[in-house]
Amino acid sequence: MKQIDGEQLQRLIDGHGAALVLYARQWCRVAEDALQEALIDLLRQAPPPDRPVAWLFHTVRRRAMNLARGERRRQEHQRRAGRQREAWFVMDPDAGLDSEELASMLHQLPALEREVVVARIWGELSFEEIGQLTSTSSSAAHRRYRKALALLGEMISREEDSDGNHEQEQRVADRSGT
Amino acid sequence: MNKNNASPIDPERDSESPGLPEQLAKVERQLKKAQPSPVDLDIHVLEQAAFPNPRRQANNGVSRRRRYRSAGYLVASWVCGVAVGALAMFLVRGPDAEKKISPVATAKHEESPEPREERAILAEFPVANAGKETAPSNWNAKEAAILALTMSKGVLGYEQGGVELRAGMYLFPEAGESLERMASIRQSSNVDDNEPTATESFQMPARGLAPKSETTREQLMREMLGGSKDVIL
Repeated sequence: MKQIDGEQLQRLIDGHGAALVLYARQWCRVAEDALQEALIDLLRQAPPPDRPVAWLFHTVRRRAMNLARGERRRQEHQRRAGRQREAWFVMDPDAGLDSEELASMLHQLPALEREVVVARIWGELSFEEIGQLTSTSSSAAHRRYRKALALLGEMISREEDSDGNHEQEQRVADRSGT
Repeated sequence: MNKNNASPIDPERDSESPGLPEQLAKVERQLKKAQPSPVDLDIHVLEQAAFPNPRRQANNGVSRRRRYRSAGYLVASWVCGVAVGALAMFLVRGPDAEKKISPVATAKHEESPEPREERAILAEFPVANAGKETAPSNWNAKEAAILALTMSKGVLGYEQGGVELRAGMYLFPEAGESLERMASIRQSSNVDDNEPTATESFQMPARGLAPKSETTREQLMREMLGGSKDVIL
């Protein structure tokens, strides 16, 4: 096999495209452009990389950083893109978390912790691969992952508590109103 | 958490990280339930972006191959031509080439530069016994005088000085020493008049090339034609 064909590329997009776009959103607002450029690079690779998913995360990261630098240079374009911000997650009523809330929580994480969480949970990379991706050791990546989960757990608890308080206040208001 | 909600594409999507406390594992499962927004990318657009104008690339490759092939044919034919030419030259001009030289070519090298026709005429000319024999009876006086003058000015004069006659040489020997000198030369030489050879050599001083008298050729001709046949010979 000399190069990745269209069928293999389609499987990669179906299986990991969303996670890669989410990963690219850590740096730039035009995350799909970063993924598209990375996929084009992957098509040109001969021979293809041994681990295409990890390779794509590397390339998407680099592309997203380049695009982010371009975005910083064009602040007007950045503001326009900010107004057209897309949702990071699919709205799912069965999921415990709201997509916008989850995106907001991820935004509140430190950059490296956020990157590790996205690569591990939605990118399904091993800690060794995450360590190579972030230029750290696998144990350091694991530590950051645990720290990020702890921070996200606190945020989720706070959110659930605030939701619970809000519902309780709503019930009290309903009762007083009746 | 319910693992049945995981993506059908990859069953390992819900795999938990090992060594996590229960609280963190719960957060992890909660996060994995969220699905990132899907992407909509056109494979054909990507392929076109990766390989712009693939047909043209293929054509370039084909034309390049054809160019290389034709260049190879050209070089091969040139090498074959050189080899065949070298073989032919070896066969024609090999070590035995000297033996194959034709007799005609050898004979050309042996030709003498001396004027054989004039030598033949000289042999026929009756001067072997100068003063005793006369010219053939069918010759008139004018022809005999002209021939004698020519012989004395040309061939004989040079032979006496030992100068070899060559093409383009300006013949102008001394006019006054015509017949007597010619006769004495013919007598003193041991050459067989009937068989003149190309190896004859005569000694002639260089001064013989320049005329001593002021007499012009026209005056000399007139003087000689005015005399009798016996005087000339």
